[in-house]
Amino acid sequence: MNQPPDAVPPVPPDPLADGRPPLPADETPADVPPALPPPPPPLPPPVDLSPRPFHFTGNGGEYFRIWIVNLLLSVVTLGIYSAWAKVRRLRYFYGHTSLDGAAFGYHASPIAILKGRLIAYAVVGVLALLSEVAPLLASVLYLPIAVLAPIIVVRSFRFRAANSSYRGIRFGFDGLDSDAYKVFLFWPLSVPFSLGLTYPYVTKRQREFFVGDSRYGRSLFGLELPTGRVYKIYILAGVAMLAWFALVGATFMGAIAQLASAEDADVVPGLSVFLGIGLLYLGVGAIVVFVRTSFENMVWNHTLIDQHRFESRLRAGRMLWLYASNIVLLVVTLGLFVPWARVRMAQYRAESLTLLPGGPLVSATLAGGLEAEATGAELTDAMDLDFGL
Amino acid sequence: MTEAAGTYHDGRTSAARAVRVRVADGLLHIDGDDMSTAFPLAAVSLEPRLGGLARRLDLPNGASCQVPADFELPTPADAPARMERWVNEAEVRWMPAVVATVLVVAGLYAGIVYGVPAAANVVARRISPSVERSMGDQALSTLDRVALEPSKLSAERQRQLTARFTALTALADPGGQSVLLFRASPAVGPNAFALPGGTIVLIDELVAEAQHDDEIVSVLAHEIGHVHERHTLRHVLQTSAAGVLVAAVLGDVVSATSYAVAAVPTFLLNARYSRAFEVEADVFGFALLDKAGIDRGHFARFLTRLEQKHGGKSELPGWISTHPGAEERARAALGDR
Repeated sequence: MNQPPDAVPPVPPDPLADGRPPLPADETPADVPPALPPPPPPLPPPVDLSPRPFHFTGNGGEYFRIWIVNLLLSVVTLGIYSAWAKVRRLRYFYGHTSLDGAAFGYHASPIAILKGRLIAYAVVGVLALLSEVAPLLASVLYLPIAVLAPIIVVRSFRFRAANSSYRGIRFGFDGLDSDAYKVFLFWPLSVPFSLGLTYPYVTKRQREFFVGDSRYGRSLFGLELPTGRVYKIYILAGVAMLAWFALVGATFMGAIAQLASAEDADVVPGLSVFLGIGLLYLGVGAIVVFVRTSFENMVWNHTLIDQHRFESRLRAGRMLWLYASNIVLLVVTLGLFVPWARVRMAQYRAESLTLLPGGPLVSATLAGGLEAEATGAELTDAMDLDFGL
Repeated sequence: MTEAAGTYHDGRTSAARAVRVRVADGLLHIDGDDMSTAFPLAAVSLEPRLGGLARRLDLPNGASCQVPADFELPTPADAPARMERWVNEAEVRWMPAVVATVLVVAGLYAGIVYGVPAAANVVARRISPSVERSMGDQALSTLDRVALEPSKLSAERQRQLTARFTALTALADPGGQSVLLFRASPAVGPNAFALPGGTIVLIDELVAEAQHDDEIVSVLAHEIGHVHERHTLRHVLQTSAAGVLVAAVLGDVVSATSYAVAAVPTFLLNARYSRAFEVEADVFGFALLDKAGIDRGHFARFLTRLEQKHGGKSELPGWISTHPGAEERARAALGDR
């Protein structure tokens, strides 16, 4: 079998080298006649530092056909085919997302996903059955599952990362189980005791865990979120929430009081009350979207890989419009709008994201042979529970 | 197509090289400006086709090659690959998509309208009576807090009605645990309702509207029907199960949106559920009245009178539920005697 020649990575420009060839050992400077200055070093190829936008090229109609055919097959096979459906869905979205002219790849084997799902369903089924016949035993069994949850989260995220690639190089996730316990069990436990004050901090730690322990080949991602600005988002949201509740409460207080004191049963209850409650929900929804958008932007804008950075310019107003219009269209079409909703979101996310290179893109990354194999072996028993991370 | 232009990635650096990929003499040849290599066909694997997306050709040395969608290897495909080829053929055309849409929508509709209620019925009958009773107790304490007041009926009147009620339950469900409670509520109006676990709450205003005690008994017979058929529990199970089913089928767009979507069928089909339940309770109640030797006409007359008096109001008692139509139900009561 022929081996292809190893690709020679273009040598990255070394800022410390002065360009002169090293002097041979047996030549002493004294023997060298003062001569012509050394020839100018060959110029390194100019590094293209222009921002590289992400692109999403999928379209709703095409994805609708994929979605509905796979949905039917999943239902008809009682969920068995859903593992293949998931791989095709992720391949579609990864394959249509591109950066600098190259698309992302998704490699997971449907069989591995099916195995993970069967295990998960078996556990759920056994627990459901047990809680029917031996409720006490079942409740005892919930405890180890709760305790194992952080490990399951880490495994499923590792599975997802290791099965994603870009330009033939796999991503990876090296988060430790002990760190997972810190961010998913220990820190969240502090939230009720601090009356919620640590919640933004916990969210920050969880994000830093996922992004900061990810890598692309051997290049490590880095993320450190500024705590002050994380809190600023949540404080703003809290203030807005209180103001909105006060405003809606004051506006509809009259109606509610009138209803409560109404002796006459002819008063039509509801309409204004429902309107008030609806407005409350709408406001809360808008604030949640604002928090998510600001957070997502902040995470991207603080993520580093090698010398590269990202810029995410999602706008809360636009996101709110996308969510709201998607919900309306989903309801009107009884859910058939799902594919378009997904495509619209992916499109907006991609067009709002840019990679800001800090050096040459191509040569930066090397993948290790041994490392990759070790991860590969691990994959076979990885459970993919799809937590939607 | 067994020959194409591709992009070669060595799997060690992110460099990309333009290559020519072709199959010849049982080998896959990859040739580029500064490379030329070949692999046995059995050692390479080609990603299944997905629309017009470029496909990845995995090579045994950890390298890979992006090739156009229509590039194919001449090697025979294994079963999963054949399946995905067939799926792709269906995905790229509109006709299969339309057929799939019709089938999914019809299947979902049938599942919600027939499957979920049937399943909820089976489950409801397996839930232990103590669980059901504690649900009922919780509901009652909430109702007592927000809407109900202690009954103003005299102890004597309560005793009379309880005696009638006990006689009725003895006929319906010997050994049944139904209990009758009296409450007043100007807000709720003339009403009676069955809680999970078998407790029936009779509102003073209904007793006041009745012109004959048999009218009250006929309503109680209807409520015993709800208890017997475990309607409250089934309703709770159905509404949550329909939501779960839809959310499971439609998947996870965004958690918030799928909740909204999941609420739709529940909302649309709720009317249907309660209509079916009222009819079931009516049928049970009529049979019970017949057994007790009470004229069904009492139910029909009471229904019609209350419908005429309170028909225009927004809050009609549950047992006059407008869905089957009071008139229609009154006719059913009088119809087959």
